[in-house]
Amino acid sequence: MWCFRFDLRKKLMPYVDGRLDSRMVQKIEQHLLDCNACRLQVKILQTGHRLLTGLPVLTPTRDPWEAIEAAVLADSIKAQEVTLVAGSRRWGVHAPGLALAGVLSLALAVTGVWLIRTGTLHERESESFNQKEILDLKRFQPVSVTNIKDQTEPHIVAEGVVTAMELEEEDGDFTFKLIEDASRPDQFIVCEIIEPIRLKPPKVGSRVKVYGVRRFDDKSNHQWFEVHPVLNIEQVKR
Amino acid sequence: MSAFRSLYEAYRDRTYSLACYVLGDSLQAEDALQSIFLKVHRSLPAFRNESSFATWLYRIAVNECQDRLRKQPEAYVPLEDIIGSGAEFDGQLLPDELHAQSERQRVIQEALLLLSPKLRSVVVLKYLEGLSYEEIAQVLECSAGTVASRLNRALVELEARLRPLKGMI
Ligand SMILES: [Zn+2]
Repeated sequence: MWCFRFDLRKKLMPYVDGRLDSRMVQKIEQHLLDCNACRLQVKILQTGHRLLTGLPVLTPTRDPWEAIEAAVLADSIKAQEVTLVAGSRRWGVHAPGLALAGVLSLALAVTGVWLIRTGTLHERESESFNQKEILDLKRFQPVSVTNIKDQTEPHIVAEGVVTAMELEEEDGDFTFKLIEDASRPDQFIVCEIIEPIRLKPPKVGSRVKVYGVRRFDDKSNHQWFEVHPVLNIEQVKR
Repeated sequence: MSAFRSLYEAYRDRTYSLACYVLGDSLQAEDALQSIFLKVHRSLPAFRNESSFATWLYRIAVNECQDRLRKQPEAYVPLEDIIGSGAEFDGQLLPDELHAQSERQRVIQEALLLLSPKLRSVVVLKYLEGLSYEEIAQVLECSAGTVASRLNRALVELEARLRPLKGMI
């Protein structure tokens, strides 16, 4: 059996959904008295509606926040790299500072990451700026393997000797440990080089400064401090 | 970063659920969640309060999911291929298995995947995110009338798929 009251049939979904005013509800119900096709349609829609009501909200098993944060950081670095290179062409004119300040304050407002270069831009001769030069390394709080637990700053620079380098086959991330010296292998900071900030891993046995975000890994079998993600690595010459 | 993190935490599960129901795959949904929030971060400076933040976020999310589905055409099984084939859920599940709430949800989730991505998105935005027809129309950039008619089609198709399980779910 067919119903040709298309004007009413297209109102059946909002009817089931309780979205019609009382005048329209009355009109629909009047029609339902006489129309089996529409009654059948309403029954079907009600069943579907009932099945879908209370669809549960799901939670991801693996929270991708760290990867998002790293990508956002990499984005900010890239954005400023472009600006700095563009600005550097007009270095002699003293104007780019203002334009830069606008872009940087926007990036800062969004990310809260300290990436401003201070002061020395006009001294640069080269037009290429790498990530290291754009990160304001002076703003990272220096920590050591032994005192990292007393620090609260999120952005730190940890100094130590590289050991236990590992490559995670699956995602290409590098993980290594920083130790103070070989006599205390139990005191270490774990450093993670992850996507999208793919730094070249340092040589095992070399002494380095590792810049990045301080975290505590509280998994029961971990319970250690990390630099995660690593944002920059510097060799220390002794 | 902390403001952005709060936003992320406030919307993480809802966005993930949307992706999970639309994509039908939890690993892909985790991946999509990551891309969605990176896109949100990149577009935040362009966000104007013309629509609510949620509407704006869901538009990014739905577009991301539909892009992913487009790139993997083999993952989508057209309804025409199975409708009336009798291969629904008959005989696949024992009645007592279906008593469990989780089983009911799984069956509904599977049935959702048999809808076209367009219909699926409307269903998820309405029943999971609780958006009004007008808000869904904003997310999908169509009219409220189109939303109502897609919902209608979606419910009719779902009911047909789940009819063999009547009384169990
Ligand atoms: Zn009728």
